[in-house]
This record gives sequence, C-alpha cells and structure tokens, in this order.
Amino acid sequence: MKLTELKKGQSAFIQEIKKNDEHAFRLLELGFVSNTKITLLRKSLFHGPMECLIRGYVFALRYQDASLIEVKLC
Amino acid sequence: MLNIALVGNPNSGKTSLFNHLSHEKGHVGNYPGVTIDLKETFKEDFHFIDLPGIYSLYPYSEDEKITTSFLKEKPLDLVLNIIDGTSFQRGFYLSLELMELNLPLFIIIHMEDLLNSREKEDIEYILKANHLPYLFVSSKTKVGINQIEKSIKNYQYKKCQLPYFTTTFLTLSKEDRCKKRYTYIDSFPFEKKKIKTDLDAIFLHPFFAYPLFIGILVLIFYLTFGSLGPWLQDLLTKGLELLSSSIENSLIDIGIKESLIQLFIQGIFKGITSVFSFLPLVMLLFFFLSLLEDSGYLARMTYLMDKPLSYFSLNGRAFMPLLLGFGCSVPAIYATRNLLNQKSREKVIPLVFFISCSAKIVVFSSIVPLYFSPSWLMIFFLYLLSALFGLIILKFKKKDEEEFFLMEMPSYKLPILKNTYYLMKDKCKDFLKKVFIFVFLSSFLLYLFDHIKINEELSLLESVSKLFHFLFIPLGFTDWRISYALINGFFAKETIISSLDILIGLENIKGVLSPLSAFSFLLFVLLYTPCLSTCIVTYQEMGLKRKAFYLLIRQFLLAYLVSLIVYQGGLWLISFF
Repeated sequence: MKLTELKKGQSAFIQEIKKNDEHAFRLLELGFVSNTKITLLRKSLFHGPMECLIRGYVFALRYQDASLIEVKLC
Repeated sequence: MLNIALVGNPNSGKTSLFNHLSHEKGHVGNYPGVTIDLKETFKEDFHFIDLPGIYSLYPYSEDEKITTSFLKEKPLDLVLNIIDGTSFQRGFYLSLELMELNLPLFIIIHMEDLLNSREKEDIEYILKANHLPYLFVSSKTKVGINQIEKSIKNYQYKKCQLPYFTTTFLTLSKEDRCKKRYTYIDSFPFEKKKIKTDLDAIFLHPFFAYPLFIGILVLIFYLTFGSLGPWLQDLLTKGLELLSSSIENSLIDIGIKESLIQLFIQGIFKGITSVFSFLPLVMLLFFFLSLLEDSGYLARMTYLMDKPLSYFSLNGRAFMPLLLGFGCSVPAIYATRNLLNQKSREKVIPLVFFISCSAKIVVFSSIVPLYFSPSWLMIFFLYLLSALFGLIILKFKKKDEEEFFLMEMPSYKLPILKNTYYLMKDKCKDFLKKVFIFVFLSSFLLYLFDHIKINEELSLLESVSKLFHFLFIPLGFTDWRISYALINGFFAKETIISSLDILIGLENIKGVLSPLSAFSFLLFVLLYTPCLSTCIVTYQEMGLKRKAFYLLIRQFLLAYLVSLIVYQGGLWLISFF
C-alpha cells in the first residue's frame, strides 16, 4: 500500500520509493530506506502536506510525493 | 593556525555553538534563520568556519552547494561535526560520508539536555566502535561548552576503517551506497525517542490552524503598529524633541552662527530624528520574527502555506524568505538560497519586492495616521494588497512543473532570550548605520541645496526636481517636494520621510496631499522599485543579469500604473458627487 493510505497514527515499514530522481534520492539519504519504520502523524485538508515520524524525527511531505512511497503495515 | 570547519545537519545548532566559540572577539553577523553563507572567526590559534547545514555531501539546494564545494576544495585541519543528539542517526549518516573522505572528525553531540542516559549509551557505543573522538554538549545548560577548545587542542587524528567501505563500494550507484550506509547504521542498537511535536495538534489542526495562523499575524501587526510600537515611538520622539531644543539652546549660548544652527537642527537633526524615532517599531517587528522562528512555529507556517503556495507553483519553503522580507529585503533575497534551485529562487525574488520591508514602516506609519483610522488596520490592508499584487503577477506566468516539498519539523522550543538579543542588536546596528549614512547624507545635502538659491524665488533643489516632477503630477503629487522625496527614496526608503519632514514638515503634509493623492502616494511607495541595496543584491543573485534590470524597471512601471489608475479613477468617481 501507499504511505498516503495509512490512517493517522498508523505505522508501517517502508518497502521502496517508486521513483528514481534527485528527490527520491534525498529521501533515501534522510533515512527513508527499506524496512525503516514510518508513522503517519498528520494529514491536512485538500491533500495538503502530511507529517510523518521516521527514525525519531518528523518530516513534512507533499501528498503527491508521499504517494510514491510504498509501505507495508506492521 | 588551525582551520576548523563546523559541519552538520541544518538546525543542529551549529550557529549557536559558533556564537559560543567566537563569543569574546569574533564577529558574528547572521540573518535570522538559516546560515546561508560561510561565516568565519579567528580566535587565538583557531580559525573557525561556520558552514550552511547539509544532510549529505550530494548538494540539493543552493546553500548546500556552498558547503560541499568548500569541504572538497579547502584543506582543513579539523571538522567539528555537530550532530543533534535527538536525530542522531541522520546526523551520523553525514559523519560516515565525511569519514569516507578521510576528513579528521571530532564529533559534538549537541542538545545533550534532551537526551536520556539510555540514548547517550547508544550513541557512545556507536562512536566508540568507530574510534571517533566525541563530546556531549548543550548550549542551553552549557554542559561541555568549555571543554570544546581543550578537546580541539588535544585532538589526534586516527584513521578508521569502515567495514562497508571496500573497493567494490565505490563502484556502486549512489542509491546503493546510501542504502549500505544505513544498513551499517541500523546494525547498531538504537532507541529512538520521538521529538516534542504535541503542540502540532493545535497549530496544525485541520480546521483551527489557519484561523490561528492569521490571528498570530494580525496580533503581531496590532502590537507593532497599533499599540506597543506607537507608544514606544511616542516616548522616543518626546525625548528627541527635548534633546533637539536643548542642543539648539546651548548652541545659541555658545554663540554659533544662526545659519549653521539652522542647518544642524532643521536639516540634519530633524532628518535623522524623523527616521530614528521608528527604531522601536522596527525592533518590535524583528523581535516577533525571531520569536516565530525560534519557537519552531515558522516551520509550521511553511507547512500550512505549502498548499496555498502550490497554486502559484511555489512550495511552502518560499514562505520563509517572504516573511523575512517584512524585516528587510536584502536578507530575504539571500534566504532564497535555501530553496531547491535557481529556477525557484527566481520565482521568489521578484515576489520579495512586493513585501513591504521595515523601512516602509517609517513611511506608512508617518502618513497613514494623518488620513486613516484605525491606522494599523490600514497598514495591514496595504501589506495584504501588495502581497496580492505579487501573487497575481506570478499567476500570469505559465505554469511549470510541480515542486518538491520536504521539510523537517523542528521540535517546539521556548525561545532563548540571549539569542533574540543578539539578533536584535545586529538589526539595531543595521538600522542605525542606515540612518546615519543615508539619512544623514541626504538630509545634509537636501538642506544645503534647498537653501542655495538660483534666483530669488527658485532654490537649486527645486529647479532640479522640476526636471522630473511633471512625471508625478498625473499621480496626484502636485507638489514638487513629494516627487523629490520619492526619488530620494530610491536610495533608502527611510529618506522619503526625512526629506518630507525637512522640506514640508510632517504636520503640513495634509496641506499638500489630498486624501486621494495620499492613497495614491502610499500605493506608489508600496510598489515602486526597492532601495539601492536591494537592487544590488538582486543583480548579484539573479542568474541572468538582464532579468534583474527587467524586474526592477517592471516594478517601477507597475507602481506608476497602479497609482495613475487609482488617482485618475478616483477623480473620475468623485466628479459624480
């Protein structure tokens, strides 16, 4: 499933990032590698950015970018 | 002399450590927010260099490029690698990259006060396993601060062989190398604690977040322009008037020539005080901006503004430079380096021109109360109007690809007053410098040229001003002195008021500007070409120099057109009544 399909407060393991550009690489460098636990903290209205917790820090991502991250529920 | 660079993730506290290290002698000049350029200080045998924060050695935004090229080109004796202890793994990822380059590392684990003993043990275990010298430091509780220099002196470089760093490693793609590093990091046990973001439940609430956001901005405006600011300004003005008259009296007593006293009091002193009295307003604004930033709310504003700004193919990160623009356009334009690439920078830089800087505060708060009430609301309206103009112009551009938005959310913190104090001191200095250079010079020359007569009626100033005065008459500025002040304002916007005060006297403005032409005047000041310093910075920071000229001329034409339409349209409407 996609990261965007998680409900608020749900955690999952990252499988892969379905894109291969500089933005996807930046996500990898920030620790969005496979088997890393990610928790969705907050979504906003009208598909605005979402907040997620990874490795102890909080990142905000755009909805479109988050939908490229494939995850598996824990 | 040892060359020591401070390297670490953005927001890991490099700048506050740099402030500690350079505290006694070093000069620290920083714009609020991100470090966007190299800063250096010399202390004893040390040469410290503070670099913009980076997440990795593959640069992503413009300011990150500065750091990576610096690290790869300049010979360094030591790299002080600062890691925020609360986001250790990500910080350590950068350390691994630095170790691969064989740079001599000393690790500083910052934010010691936020770590529990379990987390510290985990961190120590990893660092010891990699033979890295380290120190736990907190700039809040001052733990470890004083040991930094001693540790640097006793430092000895030990090369460490990273187990994954083999000959085949270098042949891998950068993505695979990245994954290998994280596999290595994850091979160490690490207890992760969540940072404090509980307040997000309120500040990022799906429904209440935006009203709160607007409420906070309105409150800042109200305090700065509506209550606290004017009150402080009033006090200062009264003090300055007292000073002025006592200086005048004592000058008369010493027996100095009347005309010289007039030049000093009615020219220079009057010009300077008319601008100087706005110091409290400007300081208040910077104070609130720094509170927003230090508390962590600025990052939330970025989050909230991402969606609205995406309609203009910008992203939330563009909000930060725009907000800084309320203080001064120069740091705002520099702060655009924090954006992803030159292309998005060039979308945001012209937008900065539409944000009224603190120099325009001087103009608005002098003119608006004469005509409109409540004046703070009118000023708020002007600010809003100008931002709207900027966005409309951006909307006319052809839409290009969607931008990527990734933003780390810092934890909420109580602002440290000392930090705010440093910032205010710097801003205060900047303001005073401007007053004493630009306003002093312009007041002096102005008074002089106004008193040099070509013939009995005409002063030199008037005859020169009339060369371009005809341009401004259709905008409703029938008095040549208004036109002169506007031209003067190109050098520094504050001089608009100092010249008007000397030439006409602020109390007499109502006699030369009707309410309609005053409104047209305000719009013109709101929109026209930014000051000389901003023009120079724009020229520096735009990729195509031609484009910088185009933008600045466009800005003037726009202001002219808007004022023309408003004034002539207003006259036409009035003629019906």
